[in-house]
Parts: sequence; structure tokens; C-alpha cells
Amino acid sequence: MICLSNINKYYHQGKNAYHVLKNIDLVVRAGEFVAIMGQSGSGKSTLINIIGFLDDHFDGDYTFEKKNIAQMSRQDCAHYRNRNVGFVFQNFKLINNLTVKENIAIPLLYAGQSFSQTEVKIEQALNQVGLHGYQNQYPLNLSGGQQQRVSIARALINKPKFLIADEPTGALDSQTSKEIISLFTQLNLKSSMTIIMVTHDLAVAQKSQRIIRIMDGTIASDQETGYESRLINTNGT
Amino acid sequence: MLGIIIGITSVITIISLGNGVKKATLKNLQATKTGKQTVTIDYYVNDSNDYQAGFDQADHTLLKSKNDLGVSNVKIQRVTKEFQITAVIFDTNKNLTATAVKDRPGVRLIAGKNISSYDNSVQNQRLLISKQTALKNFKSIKGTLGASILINGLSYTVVGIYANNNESPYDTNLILPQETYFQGQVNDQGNSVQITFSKGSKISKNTEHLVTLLKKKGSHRNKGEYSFTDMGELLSGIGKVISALTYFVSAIAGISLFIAGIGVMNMMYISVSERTQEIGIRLAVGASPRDIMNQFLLEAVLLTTFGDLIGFGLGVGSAWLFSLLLPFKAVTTFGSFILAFSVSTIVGIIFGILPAKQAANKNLIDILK
Repeated sequence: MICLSNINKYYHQGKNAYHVLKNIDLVVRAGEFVAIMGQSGSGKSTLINIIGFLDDHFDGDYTFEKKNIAQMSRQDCAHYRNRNVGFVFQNFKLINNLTVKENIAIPLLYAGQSFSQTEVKIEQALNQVGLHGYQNQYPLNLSGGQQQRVSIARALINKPKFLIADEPTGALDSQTSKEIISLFTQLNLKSSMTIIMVTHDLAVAQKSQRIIRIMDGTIASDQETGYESRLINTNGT
Repeated sequence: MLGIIIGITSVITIISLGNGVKKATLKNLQATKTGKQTVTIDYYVNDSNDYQAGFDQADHTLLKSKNDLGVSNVKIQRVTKEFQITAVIFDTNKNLTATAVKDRPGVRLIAGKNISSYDNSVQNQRLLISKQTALKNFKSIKGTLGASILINGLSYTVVGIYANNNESPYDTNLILPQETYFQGQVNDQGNSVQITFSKGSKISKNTEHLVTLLKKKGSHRNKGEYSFTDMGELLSGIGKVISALTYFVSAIAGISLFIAGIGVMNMMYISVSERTQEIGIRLAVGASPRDIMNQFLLEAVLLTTFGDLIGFGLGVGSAWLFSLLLPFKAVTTFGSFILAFSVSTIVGIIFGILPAKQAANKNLIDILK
């Protein structure tokens, strides 16, 4: 589904150019749950920004479902983001002066749907993340775990082809982290949702199918965690 | 937004008062106190040496009968004071010209004395005769003074003889007191007719119909032309001038709107800066830069139009308050609402576009870091 070929990314600061991603080749198949690990500054966030159509300034080829992303305009990129990818961020990134319902509705509205069309979908998404009845709450009235669930509901609302989670448990306590990761595994197993997750936490990464380690802008290792052992772990918790 | 409110308030106040002045002026110009409107039809003779009254009793009756055209009253007036008359001198009818005067005419007398306003007030049957006419009809200057001339059945005594030349405004054969001459023949002759229309009549159109009628049936139609000043056109001209002045003053007040627009721009820049995270989130979940630009532009326009609505209300109120102190009523039209609404929308667009563009061009990666 996702195919990166010889991706290079440079950041320019004044006269200095930093080579952040070096000759990255990566294939992510539909239904995979991939964890990306690496130290700060290793290029993980840059990589997922490219994968998630947030960054279209790179060298190399990125084909998503046989379509070359590098040749897309900003407008098309926005359209692609809206239809194909759901984002879950470390600090939730909810709009605090909008209700849970309004926050979740945003991707639908940009997809051209009216408010009346969104009602049922929002309810379904909230049920999916275990937040039934929280429609009219404001984010600041919710716990961190609940806010992250709202953010996951927002990511799922447009039925994206894949989810990108950038340290989704980074701002949560261990119990809540477990719940959120459990939610991700359920989504992956039950709905075959493709998930690409950046994390620093090995325990969290081990709940995925595959761990990719980035070091100094290159893929240092790409290992399967073992699908069956993940299942046992999931059922065990 | 306060700036927008103040700007719109000033503009609406000025426009409403301007409309009030226009309405009051036009009303005063075109209508009597009862709301009736008058128009004057003049008669001009084709041959300037041939004096024709233009309108007589027959015309009066003709015009008065036109109730279907809204005619409520007809009054024949004498604007020109020169007439062709038949005078009887020594039992002989003479076709002469005469000038009817109200006051002492400024002529150079060569014999006798002048006539005065007193002669008018008491309707003295006295007149002046030109030197040439005197010599032609009475043989000598001396023999003329004190002679009698019969005009319209009244016997006038010649009290003075004047020299008429081309420069004199009185180049007629006789000069006589107006009140004496017209006594007993009120309203039956004149070269101008004043027509009063009933309230609500279309005066320009109806007057045109009356002129057409006079051209067909008027008593003196063969010897002259009828014409009238189209008050409708004149009034619309005056109305246009007042409107232009009102809009000119409004435009000056409108400058405050542009100053207010800068305030709006400032506010929008602050809003864009404070809501950077929101912009990032919206872009991440699929908003295009154009969506973000439209959102902020819409917010700027909503801000100014909301200010416009409050300003419009205040403007109508203040115009009404001012009109309590002024001799006319303020008039607020739907047009001024549309004008204020358009101006505030345009201000919103003009001053909102730069902050909106800034919002749309924010770097998504930088925001999400």
C-alpha cells in the first residue's frame, strides 16, 4: 500500500543543509501494524510526515496505492490526507473551544459532508473508542486518556486507509497507555486498520507486528515481532 | 469592531439626514402645503410684434375640464405686460400696443407728467403716449395732453408723452396702469397658465398631455407655441445634486471605515497567531490552504458585517435623534442598508485577506513539531 523508494530529505537552515533522511526504502502492506523507533532527531517524525502526506518536499519516490505522491499539489495532498490517513498525536491536538462532537466532525466537514450527515458517524466513532455520551463535552473537561480517545475517533471518522500515531502514549500514564495501545491492536485485528506508530517505548512497540528502527536518518533494522506472540500478549493483558 | 460600528453609524446618520433633506426640499419645491403640485404652461407668440394673450376663458374651461388628468385648478396669469389693444381715438378704432405697468415707468418724458403706483392703487384712468403715436394721431404734442383715449370701454386721459427709442424697454404706443387696464377682466386673459394638480398626479406626463391638447384646441394655437418647464426633470436634477452631496459627505465619513478596517486586520493577525495550533490541526485532518483562507476571510467579514448591523441600528437611532432638532425628518432607505452592508463586507474582505493568506500559508510541519 505504501511504498517509499530512495527517499532523501534535507532541512536547510541558513547556509547549512541537514540530511535528515538518507536513502529510505520502505514498504508497508495493508493491515500491518508498524512501530517506528529511534532516538530524538533520528528522523522518525520526518519519515511519518512524509508517509502521512504532511510533507511533500523530499527527494525520491513515494507511491501510495500506485499513485505518485511527489507530484501532487498542496491542494491534492490535503485531499489525500483527508480521505486516506488519520492522525493521532502525542498531545492529542484537539481544538479546545470546540466540543468533542465538533472536533470529531472536522475531517467530515472538509470531506464535504454537512453537520446533519455527521451525527450517526460521530456516535459510531465514539462507541468504537469507548466514549459513548461524551459528544457535548469540551476537551479540557476530559482526562488525557479520554482526549486521546477523542483524537482516535477523529482519526477514524473518515474511514482512512491507515493511521499514523506519533507517540500516542507519550503524554499518558502507563495504565491509560495500555488501554490506548489495546485500542490500536483491536482496530488492527478487528478492522484490519493499517497503523504506523512512532514510539520510544519498547513495550508499546512490541504490541505491533513489525518494529523499524531509525538511526541517523537511515533504517537501522526492520524486524517482525511475531504476530502470534502479539496476540498472546494482547489477550494476556 | 468598535471602529466599524462608529464608521457605519456616521455614514448611516449622514445618509439618512441627506435623504431627509432631499425629500423635504423636493416636497417643498413641487407641492403646495396641502400636497398639491403646480406647473406653469407658457405661451410664446411666433411674431414678436404681434401681441397675443395666449390663454383666454375658452382655454381656462378646456383645461379645467381635464379632471381625468388630475387638474384641480387653473389660473391664467399675465407675465408679459405688453398687449395689442384696440383704442378709440376721435371715434376711430386704432390698433395700438400697450404696456401695463405697476409702478412708475422709467421713461424719458417730453411733456406732461408720469403715471405712478398710486394710479394703479386707485385705478386712475390715465396713460402715457409715445411721441410718435401722439404726433401721428393728435397732430401736436400740446393737443395730445389731456386728450381722451377709449380702451376696453374705459376712457383714459393722456397725462404724459414719452420719447421711445430702440433702447427703451417701453417701445409700445401706450403705457397704462396695470390695475386700471385689467379691472373687470380678471382671469380671462394671460400668456401663462398655472395648473394645480391633485395630490399624487404624474405632473410631467399629464402636463405633456395638456400641452398636446392646447396645440390641438387652444384658442391662440395658430399664432404661438405652448411650452412648460418640466418640473419633474428639474426636481430630479436637484435631487441628484443633493444625493451627490450626501454621498460625498458620506464618503468622507466612510474614510473612518477604512481606518476601522486596519483595526480589523490587526485583530485578525492576532487571531491567526493565537490559533496557529488550530490551523495546524485543521490542515492535518484534511483542510486545504484554501479552506483555511476562506475560514479566516469569513470570520473577518462576519466581524465587519456584525459591526455593520449594530452600526446601522445606532445610525438610524442617531439620525432620528438629530431629526428631532432639525426641521425635517431623517429618511433611512433599504438602499442605505444595502450600501452599508456592502461597504462593511468589502472592508472585511480587503482587510481580512492578508491575515487569511498568512493563516493559509503557515508551515504545517513547523506547527505540528
